[in-house]
Amino acid sequence: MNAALALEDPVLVIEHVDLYGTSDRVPDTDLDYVIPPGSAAVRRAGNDVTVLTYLSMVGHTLEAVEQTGTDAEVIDLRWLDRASLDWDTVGESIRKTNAVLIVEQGARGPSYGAWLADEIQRRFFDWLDQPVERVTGGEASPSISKVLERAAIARTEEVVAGLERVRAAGGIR
Amino acid sequence: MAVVVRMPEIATGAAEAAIQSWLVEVGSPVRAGQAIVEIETEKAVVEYEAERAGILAGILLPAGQAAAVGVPIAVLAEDGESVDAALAAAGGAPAPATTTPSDTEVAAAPEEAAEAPAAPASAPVEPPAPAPADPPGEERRLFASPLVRRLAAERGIDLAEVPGSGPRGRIVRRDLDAWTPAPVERQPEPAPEAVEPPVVPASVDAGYEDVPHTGMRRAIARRLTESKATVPHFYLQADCRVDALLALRAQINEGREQRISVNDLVVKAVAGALRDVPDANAIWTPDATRRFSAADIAVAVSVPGGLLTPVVRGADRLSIGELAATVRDLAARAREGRLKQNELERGSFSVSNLGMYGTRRTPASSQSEPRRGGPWSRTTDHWRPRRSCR
Amino acid sequence: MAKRKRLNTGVEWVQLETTAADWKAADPELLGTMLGQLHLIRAFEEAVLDLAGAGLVHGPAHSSIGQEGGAVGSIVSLRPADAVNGSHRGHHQFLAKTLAFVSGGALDPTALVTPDVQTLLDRTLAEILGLASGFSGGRGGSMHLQWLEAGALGTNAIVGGGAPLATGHAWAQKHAGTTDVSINYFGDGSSQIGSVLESMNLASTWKLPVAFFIENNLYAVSTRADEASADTRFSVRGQGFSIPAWRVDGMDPLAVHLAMGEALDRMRAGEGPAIVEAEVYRFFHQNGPYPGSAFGYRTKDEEGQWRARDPLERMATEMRRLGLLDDSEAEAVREQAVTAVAQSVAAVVEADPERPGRRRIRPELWPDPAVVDTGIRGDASELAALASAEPAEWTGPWRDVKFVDAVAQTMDRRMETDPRIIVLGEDVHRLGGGTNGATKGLAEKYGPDRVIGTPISENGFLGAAGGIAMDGRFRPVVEFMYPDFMWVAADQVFNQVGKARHMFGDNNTVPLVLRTKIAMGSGYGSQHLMDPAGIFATQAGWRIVDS
Repeated sequence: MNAALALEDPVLVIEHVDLYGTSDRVPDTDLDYVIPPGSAAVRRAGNDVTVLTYLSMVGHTLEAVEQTGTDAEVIDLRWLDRASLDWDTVGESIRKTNAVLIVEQGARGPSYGAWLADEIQRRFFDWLDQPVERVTGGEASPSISKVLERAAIARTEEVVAGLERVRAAGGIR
Repeated sequence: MAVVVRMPEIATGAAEAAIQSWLVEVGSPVRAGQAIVEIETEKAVVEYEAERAGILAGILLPAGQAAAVGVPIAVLAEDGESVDAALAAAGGAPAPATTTPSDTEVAAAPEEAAEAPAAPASAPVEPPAPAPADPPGEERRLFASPLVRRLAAERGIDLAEVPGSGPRGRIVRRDLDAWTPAPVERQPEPAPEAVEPPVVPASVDAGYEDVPHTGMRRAIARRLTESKATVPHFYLQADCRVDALLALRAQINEGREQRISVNDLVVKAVAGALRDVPDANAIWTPDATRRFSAADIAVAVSVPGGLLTPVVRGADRLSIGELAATVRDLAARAREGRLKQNELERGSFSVSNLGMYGTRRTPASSQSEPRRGGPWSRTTDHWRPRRSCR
Repeated sequence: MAKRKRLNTGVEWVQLETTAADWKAADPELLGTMLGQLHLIRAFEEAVLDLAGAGLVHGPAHSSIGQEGGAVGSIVSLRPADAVNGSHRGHHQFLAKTLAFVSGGALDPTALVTPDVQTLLDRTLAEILGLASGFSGGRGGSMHLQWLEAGALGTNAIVGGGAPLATGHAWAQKHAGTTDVSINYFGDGSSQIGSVLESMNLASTWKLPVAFFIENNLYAVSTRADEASADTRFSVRGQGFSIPAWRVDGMDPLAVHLAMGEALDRMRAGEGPAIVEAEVYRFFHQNGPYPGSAFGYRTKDEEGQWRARDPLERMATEMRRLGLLDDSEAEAVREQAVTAVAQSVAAVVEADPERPGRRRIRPELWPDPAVVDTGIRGDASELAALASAEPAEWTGPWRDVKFVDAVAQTMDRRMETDPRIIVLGEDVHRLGGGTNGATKGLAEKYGPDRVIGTPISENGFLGAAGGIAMDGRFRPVVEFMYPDFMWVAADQVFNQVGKARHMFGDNNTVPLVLRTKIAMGSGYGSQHLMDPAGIFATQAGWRIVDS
């Protein structure tokens, strides 16, 4: 938010209802520091697959990684627009793991990962051992029925399935 | 729900196989795990078991016919489902034949066991998932990940040789990493014997005739070339006076119905030698010398269309009579095409006998023209232990 | 029988006409200035149409010929710090404002074209033709004509697109403690569109000094006014939004001026917005050099009648009557204007060597294609001075806090240290910090001028925030309660805020923060639960960060 307010550009700041109530912690200082564009955070280091995600799906991804025992490198993108994405961190990871899984929660149509997958295959084609894999919600926008809503979005289970697809395609045990 | 049964990949890397015989009739119920068909590859006949219960609704490939791995060969339906409905429901495109019960036997010994693996297994790191179907024919598209293509180019590896474990047989990085271009499991030269023209229609033209290769023929050629090119060969020759051996044989055979052959005695001698000199009963792996605990000896058997080398297990522990019987049994089944897959694998030494054809010397791994000789050349029994060393 | 009582809006709505006395009382200098502006604009527009006819204007040329009276009358006495924005048909307003700016507010009809005036004409023409020396480097052209220094905020190609922006600009003017005003110009065809109506409501509710000037030229392309509205007196909308309104004859520049004067008084006194409706007529078709009658939707007769009311003629006639002008002087004004414009044209156009008898744009005047993607956004160098930190690497002490409270606390800290920051959104000022508590404590601490609960009109208030951001004196943080509401506000979000910087040639920034929350899992259904990242990622001008 600090960076967003300091920038002269229009900035969309996305929050998530799931996170509002979570207990968190902040450095016990004045909340003045900025996290500038181009700084993704590696939440977990790993060797077998690069998982790119953001917001509440970071937590779900870490859970899924734990559950499947995948040696995944989980990157919390933070800055998401094309110009602000941390290509350095992403690129370094892909060159190491040779596999990419983009994880997001929402429906496929307006999905974020579509353009990102295109950009990745363009930049890192020769380092890819398999197609860029995706975890997204379903096709339609989530509806109100609790069960249908759950089926329409991605959470930990869907990330588990995604990780397993990546492992199968890459012969990762 | 109907299930389409597809030609399984009996042996790793096999592109096609043939139906030897159907064990169940159309319309009969089938239990899960029940053998429903015998499938034959270049080297072996395998019973294929149904993965699920159902009714054999239709046979798509009759006995005697061959097809590529993945091609539908039968349909298992539920009560009342028609073949067409079942086929339509289960989809038509050939899919990679994945784990089948018989494949699991193969998967356990993942080398290219279709060829005679008389020499034992090499570095055991193999792709765990069975390699999926290769469409038959020459113009096979090579599926390899972009990363693999780049690395292969850098390392000077020919991707056509590398088995792929990814989807659609795609070669992925782990396949490439596991790929060691010096294939150990190669073995004794196939005896350049009479090759009968295979039963496949040949293209006829004025002046020559093309006889298409069988899978077996192709496999032998490939393995042989690989072996010769990548494994250091050295040759030891000795002439032996075998008068005492022949006398012994005569003595043993007195009153025996099933006669012991000179070959049997040679095999037994080799087995004993291997036991006495354990370092000779070993192979090279990337990290260690693997010393085998038993003397498993492959014996070359000429079969129509080529050569097979079934393995006599623990030849050093068998009596000469048992050994002879074993060899006889293996040879007979080899000629009938009824060897089991695991009988073709993991020999640590092989013996082939060309003496009956009058050969004096057969350098290992030669590709000479097939010779014919008559049985009268028995007076000069020559045989050579062959093996490849690593 | 039910009891009835007639209700009244109590809102002023008047028709204003000039009398001879008004003309007599008018300041001659004012009349002279208006005459000069009228002629300069007319000559300019004629040249543009001529160039359009020659195929040298790339894109449409929406001529304001016939409508100059409304623009000149209303703008002539504005201050430099007052702002105007207009629609796709906005050359006349742009020129009126910028002429006033460069001339200090007064033109001498006998010495009409000062060097500054000439330069202005040159640059305006260059911009319309898409040339590098234009105000926006040729990127904006006719429909995105902007010169911020002069108070020309930028014409807008989207019908009604400028209304929220002008409204926001007016908010900034008011809260910066000035008595400056903004005027948003649009036509009868725009008077029905949501963004205009939402802006009227915001302006009125928040008492903002913005005037909505409706140029009623009776046609929206070929659609007549009575096909678009039940009451073709479009200023009637003021009744619905409690905005006093004036109706005038737009072909009478003095009438326009007087009406506008009354509106300005009200606005500068802090009483809120105003509506001025001027009946005008565009002599030509929507676009291009042919009369509308050629397209069949109006008659030559009608056109003839309106031509007889040409504002240039009216002005000259009145001035003659007052003895302020004679024929030769009138002629001279026209000549000076034509000459000046011809000079502007000659500076950009030459004979085409490949096609005899044809002209072409001088090739060296085009902008360099290499700059095509510059100015989409800043380079973030404004962050260089700030301390950045990675929480994951923090080695000092931590403080436990609920996530949403961290959001509110960060906002608090920023608002405390930067008085420019304001927050707008639905219910952000109540409910303990909006629907999720993300603005907790802020309304109490910073008051209704900095934490603003908005009416439910996303397009309107996001656009207003855009106008505020472009002005630059304040930095708005807008909250969309649910991401899907971006669709409600799509024009302002994407067409305006997202494109403004690049479209206007990197001459302005839009430091606006839009906050929203992904609510998947909350059961709010198909229209509330999207992840906006994907859509926003398609829009080059927006940066996206997750919280």
